[in-house]
Parts: sequence; structure tokens; C-alpha cells
Amino acid sequence: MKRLTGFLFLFAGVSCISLFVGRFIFSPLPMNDLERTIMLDVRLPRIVVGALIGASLSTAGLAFQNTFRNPLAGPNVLGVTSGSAFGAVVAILLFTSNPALIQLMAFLGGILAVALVLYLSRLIGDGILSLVLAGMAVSAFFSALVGVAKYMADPYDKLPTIVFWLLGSLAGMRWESTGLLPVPILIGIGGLMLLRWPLNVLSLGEEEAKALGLNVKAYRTLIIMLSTLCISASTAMAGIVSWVGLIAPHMARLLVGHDARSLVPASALIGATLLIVCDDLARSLAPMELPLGVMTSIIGAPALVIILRRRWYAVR
Amino acid sequence: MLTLIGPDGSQKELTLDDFKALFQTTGQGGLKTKRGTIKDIGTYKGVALKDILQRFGLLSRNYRYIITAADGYQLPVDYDFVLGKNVPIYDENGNPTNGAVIPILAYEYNRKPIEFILGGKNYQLQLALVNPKKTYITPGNRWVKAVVKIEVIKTTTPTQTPGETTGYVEIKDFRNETLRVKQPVDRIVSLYGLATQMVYFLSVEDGKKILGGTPLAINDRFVQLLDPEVKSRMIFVGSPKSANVETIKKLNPDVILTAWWGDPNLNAQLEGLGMPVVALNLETVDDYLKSLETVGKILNREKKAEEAVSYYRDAVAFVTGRISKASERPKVLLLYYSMKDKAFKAPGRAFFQNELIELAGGKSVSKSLPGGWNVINVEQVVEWNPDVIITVSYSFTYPSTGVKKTIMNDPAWSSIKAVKEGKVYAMPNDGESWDYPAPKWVLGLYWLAKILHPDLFQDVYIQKIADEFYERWYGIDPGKVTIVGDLQ
Repeated sequence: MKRLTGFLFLFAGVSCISLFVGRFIFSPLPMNDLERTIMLDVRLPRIVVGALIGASLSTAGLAFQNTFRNPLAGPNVLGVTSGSAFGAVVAILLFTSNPALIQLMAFLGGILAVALVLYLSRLIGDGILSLVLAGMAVSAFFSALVGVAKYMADPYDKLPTIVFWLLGSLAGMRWESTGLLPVPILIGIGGLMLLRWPLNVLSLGEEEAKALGLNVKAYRTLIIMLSTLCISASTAMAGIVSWVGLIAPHMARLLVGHDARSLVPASALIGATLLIVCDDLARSLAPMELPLGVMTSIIGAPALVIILRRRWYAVR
Repeated sequence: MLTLIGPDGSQKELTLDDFKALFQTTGQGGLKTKRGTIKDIGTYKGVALKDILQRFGLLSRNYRYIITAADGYQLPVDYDFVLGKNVPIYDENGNPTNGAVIPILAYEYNRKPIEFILGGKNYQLQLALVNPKKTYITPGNRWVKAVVKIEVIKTTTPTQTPGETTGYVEIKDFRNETLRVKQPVDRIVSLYGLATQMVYFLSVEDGKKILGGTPLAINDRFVQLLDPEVKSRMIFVGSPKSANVETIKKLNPDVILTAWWGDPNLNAQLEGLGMPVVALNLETVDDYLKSLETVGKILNREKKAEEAVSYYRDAVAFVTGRISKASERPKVLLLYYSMKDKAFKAPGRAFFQNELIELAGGKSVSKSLPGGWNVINVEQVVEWNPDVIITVSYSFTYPSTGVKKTIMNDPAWSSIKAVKEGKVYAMPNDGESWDYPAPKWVLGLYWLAKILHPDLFQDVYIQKIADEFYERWYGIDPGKVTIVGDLQ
């Protein structure tokens, strides 16, 4: 619990500092109208949305890792991200100019992908393995469709938009551009927080979970649905943000152990902090915005290695 | 065993005995795979390609050859290849070296018959590149296994001796390649949307000869005005970086227009099938005008191209002449909508828009950014604090005026100098935007110059210049053209 308070302070600290990070540099005291607008209407929404997305992706990633008992499971293990990407790309090709519609289609695309996975997995055997296999198939299918769409897109106009979208970015994120998408994210994170006990039990394996009296199938489906809400809403807001959902749960596990009761909030906080830091860099390193997906990999991978190294040191 | 198909469609079947009756060539050789591995070094025995072809009167500069394998793999080659020319040659360690090879169809490898079993059938021929004395290594993709067919095609661009230019026009493109294009051109494929617009500018009649294009041109509303059938006629064939070679070959164009940044492998494939590929560069005024002359020559519209070049040059001279009297050059930011709410893009150093701004007497704040479009954060704009903002959009559902409205109504933009002083202007778009290197950039230049220096261009009326432009160059009624944007 003490560790969790530490994470909370770290998160709060990083969020506050991020308010003062950006291309436009000014001293906070005294602050004029312009500076206040930049801070509260440009930077704050990005920090809040970044935190939400980081938290939701890592919570969902953790939920998948525990449910499927697979340390390599990330948000795209069931093809949610690919489905969202496909929805967005279709919207970009058909109704170029309506950001709200692109978001909606991305959200629905992710949900459609998981619905397909759940349906297909019943046809091929109904277990963890069949879910993962169906997920692979659906993910590959939607990725291929995205590829086809990229091929068909106009190279001057729509292709760069699709690429920009696929790499993930919080550029231009304001209070009004989130729409209703924080709602499914909050439902998803909240739901997974309440399901910490089943997550613990599921990580023991299907047999043990059944022996402990857990309705494995029902809980698994519920966890998948909540995670899908998280991932598709996040992808709809920021595009494909890679790595965070895979790496933050591992960092959390190395720092607080395997007990989901503290692991779930810890991953959420670490994911949120990590994403805020990455977005700070993405928007302030160069005059143009750098893709967020690239930043998360550049920062996330070494961070994981450092923590693993320290952990190894401690064990020895 | 081997089928020879002549240019007139006549077929000849050769058996192994027929083969052995021809002049035999023996030599050593080996191949280098794509990954760099060297293998299959040995002695090959067979008949030189040139000997087979010569025997049946099929060896000529005017022919190209498609060598087909049993599995369907095809290698298009030209006359030079048959003689062993233009093949990269390596030594036995894989380092480039000088030497000569002879392409042969081999039936013996190290004194044993060659056998490729495929689908239960045995194929005995392999294309090998050998030298009678020394072992040279050549690229593996030339070493076609299980050869079953050689098809002979008359080239559309035969390599003729100088002087025989009738029926062809010779041009130099932006890759510095000298090409021959058949005259008159009846069928065109344009992988470069901006080049399509240039062809329509030179003549609508020629525009109608474009059978394959890109979405930029197919959905261009100005082109639709000139040529209402464009959407049903022009099919989407790809872009300069990736295109469907077979679809293009089916359209059988006399010339293919592409961009200088296009994929060289794609160009080589298209050229290998006998279609001349002309690479254009449109990203500076000088290159644009040079490209216009090139396309004019290909389409036999040299006179119109020449007139247009002098029209463009006069316009640039007129505008820059007036601008030289300006006391200051305002900072200009050109913004393009990115399709992500409130995120915008600005052109980097590779793009034409920067030059347009400089010519019109402004300083482009984004000109030092890399490459093409860059996503820009409002904070960076605050930092630049431009005097004038120009909004651009290529979408008809969210035009440049819409982008302008978004910026003007956003509190985060409100303290930027251009927004505060109301100096945000929507780039006109008549179906084609005036900011990019399509025929209307010259209208964009006049328009931008008058926006940046209204006092110097009081006697210049953009609508009037545009109307004259439409009438003079396209011969259409200006009343039919709808322009969206801030036309003053």
C-alpha cells in the first residue's frame, strides 16, 4: 500500500510538471491570458486524456495478461486495436472531415473485432487457446484490411492522415474533442478495479479457478468486455499507442508483486505516468509533433530493461 | 520442351534433340541470391540465348523477350541482356568486378542433366550466365529455373540509331534518363495526380487519354467539370511508390507519368514491359515549368506549353517586381487540416508552398521543418507568432473556410498575432487548391501577394485574373467554376 501512495505522488508530480512543459516557454508567475489558455485549454486536456489512455491501456493489458496467463499479451491480443484502426481508416476514407465520426467508427471497430473473436472462439473450442487463436486471426484480418485501405488511399492527402492516425498522437486534443469517450474508459477501468479478486484467481489457471468456485467463463467474458471498452475508446481518441499496455503491467509487477489487489492500481498509475512523460516529449522535443507510438517504444523499452536490471540486482 | 512465341503470335516447339543440334556453349558461372549468398557455381552446358533467337530470326534491337518458367515466374529482358550486357557481375567473393557473361539455356550442370521436378513433370532447362574461361557470379533473379517459354514482343520504344526519329519524340526526364515516346500519344497512365492536372491544363482532349490515375485526379472536381466522364473512365492504378504493374500493362499506355521520388524498381518493371516512364519534379517553380515543357513535348502541345511557360514566368516577374518595393516581409504560416480535430499540418522544406510564400513576399515560418507535411502544435504557433495564417484544405466537405473558422473560434489561437488582427485567410479552391504545384499555383501566387501586400496590388483583381485564366487556358465559361475561399 505504501508503494501505491508513492506511485500516486509520482503521478501527481509528473502531471503538475507537465503543465509547464512545451514549445512555448513562460514563467508561471505572473500568468497572462494567453499563458493560462495554453496551460488549461491546451496542455491540461492532453495530460488528462494521456493519463486516462495510459491507465486504461495498461489496466486492460494487465487484465489480458492475467486472463490468458500470457506475459506477452497486450491490448491487441484479441485484435481490438486492429479493429479500431480499421474502423478509423474506413472513416478517414469515406467521411474525411468529421473527427467525431472517425472516433465513433474506431470505437465500434474495436468492439466489432472482439465480438467476432468471441463468436469465432465458440466455433473452434471455447477455451483460452481458442480465444487467443481467434484473436490472432481477427487481428491479422483487420490489419490486412488496413493495409488494403492504405494502398487505396490517395498518397497526397489521405495516406499521410492514415499513417499519422496509426502511429498515435494526442495532437490537437482539447476538452471538447474527447466527446463521450472518457465514459467507456472510466467504466472499463472502474470495472477492472472491482474485479481484482477474479483476476488473481484467473491467473492461477482455469482448473484452479474452477476449483475455487469461480464461474470462469462468465468472469472471463466480463473482463474481456471491460478491457475492450478501455482499449477501443483509447484507440479512438489517440490512435494506436503501442507498448504502454504491454510494458506498464510488467513494470508494476516488478515493483509491487503479483497480487492483483495492488497490481491493478499500480499498473494504471504507472501506465498513466509513462504516457504523460511520452506525450511531453512528443510535443516539445521538436517544432513538429512526433508520433506518440514511437515515443512510448523509445522510452518504454529502456525503462523496462532498467527495472529488470535493478530487480535482478536485488534478487542476487 | 521449349516454346518460342514470335511477335506475330506464331509458335515453335523445340525438343532436347533440336537443342543439341544447335551451336553449343559451355562455361562456368554461379549466382548470388538476394540475401548475398553465393551458390550453384559450376560448369553449365547449353545453347546461348542469342544463338537460339538468331536461328529463328528473332534476334533484333526492336524486340523484347519474356522468359517464363514452369511455375509462372517471368523475367522480361531486352536485346542487350541477350548479348550479356548490362548485367551486374561479381567475383567469387561477391564483390563487384568487370567481366563478360553469356546467357545460355543450360541443360547440363557439371556434366549431369538438369532436372526440375514440378507437379510431377520434369523440366530440363535453366537460364544460366556463364563465361567459357573464368567463373563470374551474377544476380540470382536472372537465373530462371525450369524455363518453358520465350515470348518475343515488338518494343514500343526500340533503341534505334540516331536519325530515325520519325514517329517518336525523345525527351530527358528528371532521373536524367533519355526516353523515346511514340507519337502521337493515344493512351496515358499517370501515377502522379499533379501530372494528371497538368495534362488537362495542356488539353482536355489529352486528359481524356489518361486511362489510369490516382484518387487525387479522379476525385478532382475541376477535372470533373472539364471532363464529366472522368470518374467512370479513369481507373485507380496506384501511386509513384506502388502501382499494379499488370493493370497498367493491360491499359497498354504509350507513356507513363510519375514523380521523381517514385520507386525505381517499379519504374524498371514498367520499362521492362516496354512502357516508357517519365519522372517529373513539380516541387519548385523552375522544375514545374521544365516538367510542363517535357509533358508538352510528349503530347505534341509544345506551342501551348511554351506560351504557358512564358505566362507563368511573366506572372512571377510581375509579382516579384512589385514585391521588391515592399518595406517588409510578413511571417506567414500555411496550415493544412490533418483530419484530427484541432491538429494542423505545415509544409516542410520539400514542399512547393514555401517557395510560393517567399515569391509572394512573405517569410514561411515552417520552411526549415523536414520533408512534407508536419503536424504542428498550437504552442509552436504561439512561439512563431505569424503575422498571417493561410488555411488550406483539399476536402470539399471541410473546405479551407471551415479550417479558418475553427482557428478563429478557438480560444487557444486567439492571442496569436494573425488571429488577433483578423489576418487568417482561406486559400481559394476551385476543385483544385491554388497552393500546390498544379496549374493554378500562379493564381495562388497573385492571391497570396495581394493578401500579404494589399497596397502594392490594389489594381490587381484576383477574380478577374482567375476568369481570364479559365477562359484562356481551359476555354471554359468562368461562370461555371465555383471557387471556395477568401477571394476578397
